[in-house]
Amino acid sequence: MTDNYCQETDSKIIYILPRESAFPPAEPPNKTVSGRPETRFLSLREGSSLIRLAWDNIHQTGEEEVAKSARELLLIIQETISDFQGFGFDLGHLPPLQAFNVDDGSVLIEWIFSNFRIGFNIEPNPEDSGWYLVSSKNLGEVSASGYISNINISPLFLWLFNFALSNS
Amino acid sequence: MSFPDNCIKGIPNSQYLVADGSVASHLFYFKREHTRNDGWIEQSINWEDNSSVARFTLDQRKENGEIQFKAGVAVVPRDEIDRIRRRPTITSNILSYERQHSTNNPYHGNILLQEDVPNLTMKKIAAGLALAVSNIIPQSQE
Repeated sequence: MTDNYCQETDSKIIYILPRESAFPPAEPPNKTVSGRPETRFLSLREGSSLIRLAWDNIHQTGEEEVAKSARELLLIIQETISDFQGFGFDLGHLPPLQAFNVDDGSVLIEWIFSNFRIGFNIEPNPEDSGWYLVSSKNLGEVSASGYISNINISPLFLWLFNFALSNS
Repeated sequence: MSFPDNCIKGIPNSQYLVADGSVASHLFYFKREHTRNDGWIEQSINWEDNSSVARFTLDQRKENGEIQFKAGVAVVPRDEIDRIRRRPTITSNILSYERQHSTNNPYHGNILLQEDVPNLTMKKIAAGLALAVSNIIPQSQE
């Protein structure tokens, strides 16, 4: 995966190399022989402390399809985190992602910083699932959101992750 | 109608708390079942009209006598709500607030959201409100 990126050292921003039109789909560390990976049985790799808390909380999610989608999202997030760790970035200052089981049947995966929040809402109807980024006045009052169904989440999360790295 | 600088939002239980001392955004989710006939969805708060309101809120009890806000209360500056209302991506008049006194609670009010706001936007607004929390006062009673 690291061959797909180039890094601008000063800004810490990482870009997709020009030859890449899109990221290849993120794959979990283990694969099934056929079909979609069964995320219930996947274990987290080393260096996954940023998502471990959220991963564990999803075990309490009642709706299995929602839980499965949440785990798949966390694996994509972990791929990006692992790539940055592979570049030698020290991510030790970043807070862990949180996951909350909401009484509307959704799962909220939230990354909480003092001046901004990044969130993913995994909804019972996948078409309604989305993301957001909100920031305080100090960071320009960013207020962005969108749906995540039928999109490649990797570049979206890379953008959000770059925001988090640059402002934390 | 005048409003104080802050409103107080009760935290029902520890599921809404994060170890770093913040609250999760779903504390501020607007619930469709709280939609009124006039098209607003209510989210209950107390207005901090004086320094006793935080304690008053912490002491609020359910009909069965249980403490209502077992995890404490969150303080939200009103000007931060106004800032969210003015954001370009928050179309005008979808977010508001009001007083709604009751016989048992002279400080009661609501943050209001228009019922036709998509869930995605509602959850982004909730995140903005959670980000705006200036103080969390933990519950000290059982």
